[in-house]
Amino acid sequence: MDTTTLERFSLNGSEDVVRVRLAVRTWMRANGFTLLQQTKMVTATSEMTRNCVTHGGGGSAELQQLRDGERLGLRLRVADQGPGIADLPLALQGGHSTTGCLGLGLSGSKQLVDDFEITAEPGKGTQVHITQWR
Amino acid sequence: MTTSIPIIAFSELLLVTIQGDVSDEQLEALRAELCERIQVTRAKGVLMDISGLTLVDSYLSRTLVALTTQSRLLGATLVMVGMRPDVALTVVDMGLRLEGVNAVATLEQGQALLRRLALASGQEGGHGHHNT
Repeated sequence: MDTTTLERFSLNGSEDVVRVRLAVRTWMRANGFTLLQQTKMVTATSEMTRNCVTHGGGGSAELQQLRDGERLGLRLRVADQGPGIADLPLALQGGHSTTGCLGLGLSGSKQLVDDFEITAEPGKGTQVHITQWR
Repeated sequence: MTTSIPIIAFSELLLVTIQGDVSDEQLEALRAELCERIQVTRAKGVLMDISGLTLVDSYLSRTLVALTTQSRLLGATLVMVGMRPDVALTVVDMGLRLEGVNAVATLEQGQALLRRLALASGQEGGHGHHNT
């Protein structure tokens, strides 16, 4: 599988959340993803980047183009050096909320994309990868 | 470079139009501004056109519920108009419920709903309404 970096972002405020959302929307539209695929990925992008800004104290994001034979995909990687998530399985069930609806954003986003990976050990920050295939 | 979300008064209603991709700051500003406009104009109804809104994530979902509730507390009924199908599917798949939020497809339906609710509340002596 070929992976190409498309763009990198630093995430410090809500304008950065908007910037990444627009970049995801623009690239997916230009590359023939359906409107529903675009909206699901943009929504999951919004959740992950906002979590990074509000819970992780800011961090960085990277957009990658994936090519696996005929398949084309878009992956977003988001990383922060924040506190991580104490009870990740609980957070992914959607019931967990420390400030606002972290749990619903996380568990909900998982339903929107084709692949969802998260590591969030307490004290080691949070790393999330989400991928949508065309 | 935050542009504000427009609120237009027409025939005793307020019309809010949310277009494209909006930031958290624009939504926060809208919440405050809408409170003020309802209070000043004494509008009984708010039509919120979201046919141009390209995503509803958990933050926007909380904001839509908050806008509905705060409008009701100030004596106005808020009706959300024209959610895009891809946005509706995404909201449902995420497990967001938008509880208590009135939704219709067109501005005409929104006006008709507000008229019906106003009539009903007249007959019942002014109870608030937040039916779906």
